[in-house]
Amino acid sequence: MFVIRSITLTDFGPFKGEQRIEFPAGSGVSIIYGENMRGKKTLLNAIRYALFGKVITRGDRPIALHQIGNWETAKESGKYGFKVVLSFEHENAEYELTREHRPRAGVVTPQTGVDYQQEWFLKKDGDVLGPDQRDTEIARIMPEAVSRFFLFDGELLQQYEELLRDESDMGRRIKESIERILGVPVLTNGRTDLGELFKDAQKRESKAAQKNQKTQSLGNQHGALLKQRDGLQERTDRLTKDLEVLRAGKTSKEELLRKMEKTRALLDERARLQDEITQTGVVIKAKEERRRDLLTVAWKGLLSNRIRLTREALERDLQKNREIYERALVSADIAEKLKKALADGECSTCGQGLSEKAKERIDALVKETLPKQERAKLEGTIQQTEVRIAALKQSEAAGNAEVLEEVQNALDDLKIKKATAEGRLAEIREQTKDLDEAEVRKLYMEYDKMVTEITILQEGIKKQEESLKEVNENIGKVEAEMAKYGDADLATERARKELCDKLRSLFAEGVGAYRDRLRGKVEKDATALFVQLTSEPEYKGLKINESYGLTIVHQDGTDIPVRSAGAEHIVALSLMGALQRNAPLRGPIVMDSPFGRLDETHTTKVVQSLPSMADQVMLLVYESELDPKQARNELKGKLRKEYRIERVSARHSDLKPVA
Amino acid sequence: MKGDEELLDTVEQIRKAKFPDVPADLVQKLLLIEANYTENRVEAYRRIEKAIDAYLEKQAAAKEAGD
Repeated sequence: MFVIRSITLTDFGPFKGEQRIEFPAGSGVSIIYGENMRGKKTLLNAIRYALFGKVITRGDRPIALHQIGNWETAKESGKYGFKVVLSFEHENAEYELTREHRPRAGVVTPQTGVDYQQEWFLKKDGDVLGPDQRDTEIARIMPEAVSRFFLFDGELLQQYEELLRDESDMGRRIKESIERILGVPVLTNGRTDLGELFKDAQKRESKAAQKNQKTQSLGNQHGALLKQRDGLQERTDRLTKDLEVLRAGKTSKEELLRKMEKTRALLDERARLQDEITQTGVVIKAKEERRRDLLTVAWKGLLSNRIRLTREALERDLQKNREIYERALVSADIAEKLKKALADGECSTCGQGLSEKAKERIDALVKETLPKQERAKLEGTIQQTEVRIAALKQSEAAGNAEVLEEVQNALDDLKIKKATAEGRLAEIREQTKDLDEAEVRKLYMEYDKMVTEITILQEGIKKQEESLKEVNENIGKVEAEMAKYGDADLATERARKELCDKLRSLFAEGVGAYRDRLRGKVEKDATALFVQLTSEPEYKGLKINESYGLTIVHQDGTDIPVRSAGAEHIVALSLMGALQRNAPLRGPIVMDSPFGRLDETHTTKVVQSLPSMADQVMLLVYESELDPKQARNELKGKLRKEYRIERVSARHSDLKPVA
Repeated sequence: MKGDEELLDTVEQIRKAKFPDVPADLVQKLLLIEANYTENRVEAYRRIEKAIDAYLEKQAAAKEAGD
């Protein structure tokens, strides 16, 4: 297990001169308090620099090393450069790792990185190791690929949510790091090495077969197939490498696109607003035309009551005239029959003769019947009345004030909507006035092109793999033929090939089995930690996916698909703890600002759990993030040491032990 | 069970069940090489090859002695 004993800094960032912090033996938590801009992240970077010669920013980008030296020292004494000495223990040996960045010989005032040189050496139990041994030892003790699980920035914990996204390249990279810390490459590398040795053994088998006259032809055939396979394999490897390059490019583009998300949203909104303004303008125009039509007859609205009364009177007259007219029609028909009866002197229906009295009565009736001209006149009056009523009805409708009001209201709403959109559009135009839109569009186009190319490459690789499978089957058939011959050399090479093949298959099966076993263990341990850390009693645990992404599971068995930043933080810490418990590699956890997103309850729970997450934990926190009294109460005997970073000036901080 | 023991145990279970004629000590030796040289792939390959050669030579010598 890797345990840090002390860190000695010389002019590293704000830590002017030589400053040292020590960590006492025994498992537990050490805390270094420091307000913002005092140098907490610099301390994390000092460890990173000592181990890997790198210093990174919060965004995971490297910082040019010539910018790291203390500014005041350089200004006051003209001394440039910096140094970190890391003392640590690993597997019962004591190490001292020194890394120094100093100006090259002859350079008095270094300006850029090329003016500096870096030196580093490693002492093991007092002996300085050679460069190769030094590199091997450091790579074994703390491989850079897994350092994210030991030296981590609390602000970056949300990155682990990427593990839940199937197509995320960042998620893929984190998954690789997780597998690296869990030791999966021991098997995957072994599988690759044994695969290569297997191929080498096959070539040796070919040569052995070619030497024997009986098997020469088979040996030649075998050799040709092996060459064909190597060619296919080479093309597949090349395509796979191209795919990796494209994926890496896609990742960096994704990062740029993430930063441009706001810009893109603004541009999208701008386009939408422009459309909305145009469409609203069209609707306003149509409504204004409708309003104009309504206004031309609006005066009629003032006379609407009078018109209605006139119309009602006319309708009454119309009704009356229609009744007279209908009666007149019936009377005219009867009068014709009566006239005939008078002329014939008998009833036209029953044929009986008419008495004088009846003749007088009929004559009076005939005289009362409306004459034809009068009927025609009445018919004309009815028609005229109908026309007038229709005209009055139209005037009543045209003068409808309610419709006009409705149109006016709609028009007002539309104008407000348009004005609001125009205001927002002006704001967006102001925000995007300096933007190189062509560049943004180009970035999106390049990204889309990359996605397409990745798909094409994946298809290509698939086809190559199919061809490889076919060739391998043919190789197997020829080898089966060769196996029928009892040549001693051939048998020796065959034995080598078979051993390599079995070992390769064993390692290959081991990869899958070990991954499954690890996932089960990581899920179990992460769940145990999560239940301990979360303040939500209804959360039952965590469920792991193929990429080691963790989903919160509710007590009713359903997944919690969306989680808060705080919950994400707790899940990520649970994963960290579980990885520490299951990794063959053990080391200190150095956390910078791990409580920033957490409330007091969660902070307390995390502090209580820290001693169980790793044997050595170093916290870099500010006091409002973690109150020293609270930390002492929660950690008790597990609190090993406390330091405070004190400000001397903007460019000078001192590390002081807390009494 | 610690991480490294977990790994050895996983492989050993598969070996016993599916590849019993592959010697356990050779497998362990290869796993140890890969664990110690994860960051140095060339060295790992070289040492794996050497370990297999040594095993095969030993087998051949034993067979010759038996004959």
